[in-house]
Amino acid sequence: MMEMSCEAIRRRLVAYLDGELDARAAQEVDRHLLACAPCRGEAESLRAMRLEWRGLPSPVSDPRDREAILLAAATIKPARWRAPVSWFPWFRASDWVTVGAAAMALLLAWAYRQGEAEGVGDRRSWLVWSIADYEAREDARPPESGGNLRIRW
Amino acid sequence: METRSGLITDSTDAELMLATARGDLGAFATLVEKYHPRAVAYASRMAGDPDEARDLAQEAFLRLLRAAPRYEARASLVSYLYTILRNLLRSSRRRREDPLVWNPATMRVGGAVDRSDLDARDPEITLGERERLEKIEGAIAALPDRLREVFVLSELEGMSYQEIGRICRCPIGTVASRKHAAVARLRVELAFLRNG
Repeated sequence: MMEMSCEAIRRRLVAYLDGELDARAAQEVDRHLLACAPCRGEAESLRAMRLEWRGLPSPVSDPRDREAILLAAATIKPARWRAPVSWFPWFRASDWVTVGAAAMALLLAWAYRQGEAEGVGDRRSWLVWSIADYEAREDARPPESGGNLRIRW
Repeated sequence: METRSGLITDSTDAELMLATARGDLGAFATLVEKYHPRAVAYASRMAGDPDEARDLAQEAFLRLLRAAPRYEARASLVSYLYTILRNLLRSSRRRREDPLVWNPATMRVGGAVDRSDLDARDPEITLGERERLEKIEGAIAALPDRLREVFVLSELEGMSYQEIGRICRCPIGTVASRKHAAVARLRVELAFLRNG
């Protein structure tokens, strides 16, 4: 494996000190630093420098600003809030579309099989068959009962 | 657990956002308490004006509140908040052509509210120490926006390159090179600290 040059190592030093290099690259830098005094000095100098800015005081904020936010928040209308209970909170809208499509496909497949089981010999769908059956029954019905139409599936 | 101040102390950010989405303002208050100081400090360092920073932080939290019903905990909440804040900062910066210049009269070390606030936090702070801190803040303020945001998020907010890439919408390699460039510039600007 080809050794990285000092320049390549120095370009990686900041990421190395941040712990952002992958294990292999970090090992390579480790090995180089053990063998190369100038690069080791560079790394030490960087470490010392970052202590300077990391010594900046931690931020604080004015409690009045936080109160102002909460006062403004209280004016946001509750109508915008989400419904309190979701039975399947891990489901997103797109998941529900997939489930709906799958359920529809299953229903149609079941309906088709039902049609075949009940003796429909051709490849017409159960829906077409049901309508034809309904019309046939309506035709066979005595004329006096024709006024009360009901669809039966 | 709810404290006497009504703040919830042992919930994760995602749980707090879920409660916020249900209209629980106590949960939202906990988030404000937790992240407001960091949001103001970040906005202060990016905007250069503490008043503007406070306004932007307030707007960011209100946007976070409005977005709560749509929030999905795919990334950390702080990344989400900083993304909102960054978008607000960019809109604000587009309206202002002037480059950011550190002005100790208006800008504060560590996002402090005013100079007395810094003294109150650290009564032992000397004039020399305060000047040193202001020079460091000045050197950070002098960085170009793209380098400064990566530097502040990484060094002062402690975020990973991945989180920064998500906030700044750039690849991790770009984050690494901007961080390297920012540190290189600061080393030059702050060389006097090592030389005494």
